Amino acid sequence: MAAATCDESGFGTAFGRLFQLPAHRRSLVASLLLWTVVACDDPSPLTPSDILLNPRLASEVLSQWSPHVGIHLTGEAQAAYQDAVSALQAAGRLRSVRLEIRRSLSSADPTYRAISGTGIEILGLISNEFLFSPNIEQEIDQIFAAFPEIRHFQIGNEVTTILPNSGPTITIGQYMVLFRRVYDHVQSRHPGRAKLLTQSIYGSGLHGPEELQSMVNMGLMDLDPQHVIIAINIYDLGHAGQYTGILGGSLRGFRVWVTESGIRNPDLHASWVREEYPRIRNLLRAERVYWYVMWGEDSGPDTDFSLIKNPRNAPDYWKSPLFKLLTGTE
Amino acid sequence: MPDPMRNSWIEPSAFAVLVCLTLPVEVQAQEPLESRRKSGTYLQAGIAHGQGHLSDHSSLTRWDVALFGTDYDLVSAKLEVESHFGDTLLQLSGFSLGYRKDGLRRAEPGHMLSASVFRDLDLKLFAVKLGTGLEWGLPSLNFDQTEFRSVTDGTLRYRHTSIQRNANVPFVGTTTDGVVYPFIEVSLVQRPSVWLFETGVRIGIIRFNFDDFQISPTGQLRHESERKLLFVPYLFADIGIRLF
Repeated sequence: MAAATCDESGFGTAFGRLFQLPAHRRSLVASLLLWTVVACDDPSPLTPSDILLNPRLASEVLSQWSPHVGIHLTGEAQAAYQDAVSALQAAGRLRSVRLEIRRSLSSADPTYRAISGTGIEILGLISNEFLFSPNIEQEIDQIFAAFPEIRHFQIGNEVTTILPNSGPTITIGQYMVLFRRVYDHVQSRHPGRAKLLTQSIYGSGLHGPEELQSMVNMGLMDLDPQHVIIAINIYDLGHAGQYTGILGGSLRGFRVWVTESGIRNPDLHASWVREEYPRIRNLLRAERVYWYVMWGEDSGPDTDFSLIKNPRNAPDYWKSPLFKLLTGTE
Repeated sequence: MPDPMRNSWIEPSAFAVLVCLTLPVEVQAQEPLESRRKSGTYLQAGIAHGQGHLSDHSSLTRWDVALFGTDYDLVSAKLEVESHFGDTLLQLSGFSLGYRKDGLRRAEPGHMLSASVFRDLDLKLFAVKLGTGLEWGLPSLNFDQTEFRSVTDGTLRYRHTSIQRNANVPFVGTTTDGVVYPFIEVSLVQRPSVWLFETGVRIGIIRFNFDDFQISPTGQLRHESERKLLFVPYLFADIGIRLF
């Protein structure tokens, strides 16, 4: 076959010649193209029985577990929470919990006292409702006074995505102005009292990385990394790589905590910990990963994230396979 | 010192040897050399494999047992269009445009485009090809590693290693999600009949971030960082067919 020199062939001619190839050559070309369309399948998730029956897999789950859990404060779960927190603590699988501080929450709240009474470290999530206070500095003073045992406070959660349109909403620009006010107030009036966590960025798709980029553009990188920790919620690691450029660039010196992560299927909880927690740590250099959530109600969208259910039946409440593995109860 | 050359080259080498050994004898014989170089444009597909260590041995956080490891271990699939000139042009024998998917188990990251030029030296049985070019795209996340160490007094230490993102990949996400870096390449090529067989090594010259964090029990943060240019090699084996 006469060889054509490169400079003889324009792209159109070349493309045309591709279709003039003999059938067996076209098949080979197609095969080579097909070679690149290799299966990009994610690893098959493990079922609870896979893990419980295999000591090596169980050990991997336990070694990847991060001893931090989010808890929704509600009185009806008080006894179950106390029992679950104690069981996880006794197994060495719980060091801190993330609790939302709402305006209605008192430090004397029995459920709060039951949890804090276990001696567990608490990350206080200052509810989004405080972001609309005309004097947030005064609110911070009152919260610091009411909860002296809390040393880490998060200022808001998913503030641009979680607030209903029926009520007040906030843009990321307005939030950053507010966060800066809180930061300046804490550094001037309560130096050394607490670390501040940024609002949790929504954890799916590209919204989170783009919002973190916006926060950087609005001055986040000007704050002192000694006093500020970057918070991210992450439920979908498909776009987690988009954080790496920001965390390795403008926010290179800042610490990162993942304040929510998990999967909405109790059968896949353990698999999520085993497969995704190491990726979260590797990509985001997250010091902590808070499991979402201890109890997400017995019905509704969050129920299947739960480590426990039916808390009213305490101590015979339902326990997820992951909870059982963590506490060694099965 | 980093030791990026501590690589396992066994798998792709074995593959390349297997490819050569399985060629029919008549196919292995090169076509007679004529005054002009044999020209042609080939569609090539192949596999690549790179494995090594990025992290320093002496650092704030380095210790004996790696919980998560700092190794990268990549298996890739690649597709290239490579054109060999009939005559050398500005001392070049041809050029190549390619796409490589690093890490086949995850769909989102590890998409690299490359453009390179090369010069080959015909040694009758095969040609030695020397090339250089640029790779650009969304790098594999296998290079992003964090290793943690908790010490008995409650201090937390960790080292994060990552590729320094220095480019934008449009329409994908944030403005610093991509990377562009030069590479050099050495390979052996056979072009019997309409086929092309090639095996060699491509060495990316990539800048990495190394960040050491230490958080005391009282929450005091100590952060040390540095950037280093590392050579990241991977072996590849390709098979191609002449398009025209």
